[in-house]
Amino acid sequence: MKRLLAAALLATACAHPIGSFSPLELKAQGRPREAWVALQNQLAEDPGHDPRVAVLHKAALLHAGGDWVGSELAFAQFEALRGYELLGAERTILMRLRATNTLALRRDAQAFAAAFPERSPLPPAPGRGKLVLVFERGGAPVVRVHYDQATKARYTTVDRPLSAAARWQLDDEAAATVQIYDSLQAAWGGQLQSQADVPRNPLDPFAPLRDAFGGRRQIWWSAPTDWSIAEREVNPGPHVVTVATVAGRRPQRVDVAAGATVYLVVPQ
Amino acid sequence: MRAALLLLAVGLTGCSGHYLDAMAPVHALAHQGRPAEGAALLERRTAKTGWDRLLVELDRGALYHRAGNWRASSEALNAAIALGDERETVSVSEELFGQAPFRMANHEKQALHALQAINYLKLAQNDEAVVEARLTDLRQRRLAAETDRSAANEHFVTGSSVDASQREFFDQLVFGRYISALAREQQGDLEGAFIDYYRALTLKRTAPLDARVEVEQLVPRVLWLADRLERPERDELKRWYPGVAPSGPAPGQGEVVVLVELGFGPHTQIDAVKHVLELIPAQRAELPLYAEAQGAPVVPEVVSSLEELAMRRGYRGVLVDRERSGTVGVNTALFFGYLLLPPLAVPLLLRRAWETTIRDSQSWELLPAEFAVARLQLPAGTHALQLPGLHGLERREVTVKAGAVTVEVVQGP
Repeated sequence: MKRLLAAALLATACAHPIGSFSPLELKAQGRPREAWVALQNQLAEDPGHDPRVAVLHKAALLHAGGDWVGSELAFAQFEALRGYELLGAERTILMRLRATNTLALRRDAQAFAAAFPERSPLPPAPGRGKLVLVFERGGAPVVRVHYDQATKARYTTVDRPLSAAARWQLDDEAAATVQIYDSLQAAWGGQLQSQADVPRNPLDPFAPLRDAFGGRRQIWWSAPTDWSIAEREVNPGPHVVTVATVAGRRPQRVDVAAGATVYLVVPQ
Repeated sequence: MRAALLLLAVGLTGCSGHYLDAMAPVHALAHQGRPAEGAALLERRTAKTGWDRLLVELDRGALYHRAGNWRASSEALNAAIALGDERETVSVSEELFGQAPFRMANHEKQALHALQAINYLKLAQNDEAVVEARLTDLRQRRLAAETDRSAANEHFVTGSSVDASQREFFDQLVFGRYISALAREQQGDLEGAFIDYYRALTLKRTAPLDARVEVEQLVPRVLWLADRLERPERDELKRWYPGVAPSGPAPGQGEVVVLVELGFGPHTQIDAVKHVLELIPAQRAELPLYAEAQGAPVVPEVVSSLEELAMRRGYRGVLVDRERSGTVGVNTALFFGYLLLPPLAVPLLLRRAWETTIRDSQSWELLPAEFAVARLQLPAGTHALQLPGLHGLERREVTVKAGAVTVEVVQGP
């Protein structure tokens, strides 16, 4: 009887262990480093995976986990590998992630200008300091497959909804929402769609099967797509900046010197 | 027909009500930072009623704790501990004919012992504080030999078991070790304090990478203790934390350890679309999350997040804790009884379904979502500190003694 009941419960799709999640779920919960570990385990069971895509995920997930050096090394590794070809929007995202890695490590105006050339903050007023926060949000557009006819697949993309608005709080002031400065969702979605609509090779017997599993491209789902920038003049001295992330509110102490600008990168 | 209706009426008599719905005004007062009023209202609402005693004692203990009435809180929580232990044994008659008794989920048990440890710490009953703090470690109850049995029970109830690589993380609360160490430190037992602090750091290292376990502020203190006590773990600690300088109490200075209980526990809710019970984290106010001493802010570190422990296991994890294979057996027997003897079993089966739903949808909502700690080194004397509270930063005067550890407890957003 016990076995029968257990089998019935297993059949209700609750077979995965309690407390374990897919890499995508872990990323959505704000656990990027665990997402990378889970992804590594998945990749280990799939010898046919594209190593270039794997390194891209590694770079983005380590970046989201605040391991800027590890992320930068993974991006360097990506450039040295052959395989997955980046779309234009993906190349832009990659360049920006590398620039924000540098910004998080060096925290200077030059690194900020490299990441956001058209958005250079002015220096603070005399005797004051400045805080600049860079928020990363969003994710790869969702690719949907539609069947207009029995044999022909049509692809559309839908923007992935933002998991949480970029919100921050300085010391004991009221929390504020930051508007999106730059979003690559639409551009990436369009490029994914046009790529997916490339005519199918009629001699490829597995093409319909691949369509049924969600398209012909692998998606760099671990990358952010939206950036917000908050800029604020503050009195010199220690401050507490509290940022809202999907995993909860995170306060951190920041020391701002007079005349200095402090840059903070806040991954999703 | 009449007989069947009569049986149904008798069978459904005395079904449990929804405790959380009935106590919503009490919980609202706690959320507003008015726990003393909440405790008074709880007494009025539960006097001479049949509400589940365990839920009542848990709320009473939490409300008195929040109000700073450590003695009354410890008495209520002791009653809750005794009731909780009693309910570990499944009574077939109670399951079949009585109200399905509420059982605590693991994160609720850990919160119960953690709050009790803090109560004892504030009452200067350090030995009791150590015992309670150690009881946050669920592995002590479930000996290693019982791990397989636990996994089998989990399989039986939900069809899968807890991810084996995370079992230690779910079973052992870092905050428990922290409190135990703090109690020993207050007693002057530095060796004992080191052992518990060291265990807290070890648990942090084995926790999942993104788990909310932060003990960075503790590291200089543990390194200092290792040096001073010439502990064999000293070299290992230096390898773990390269570049961190040991830091102990300076002459003429004392330490204030602020224990911050943040937010409220998650609650269960029925998803109207999927028709399943799910665990929902409590809303948190966007208020300051730091302390301030002598004009400098100090950010408390979240040592353990009960909310995270609960959310990672999800509702299936809570179900495993609330249900036992015995209760599943009773439900199965009733189902077959329904097939064989419909007139007798229908009211019992309906009542059973109601009782089980009520049991599984209750929770202890007044436990803190997270335990955070801020350590402040201050000169001896009286200091006005700004500490996080449910209405923003709150001023509190604290007297610091040279070379001593002073513990302050606050409830934050």
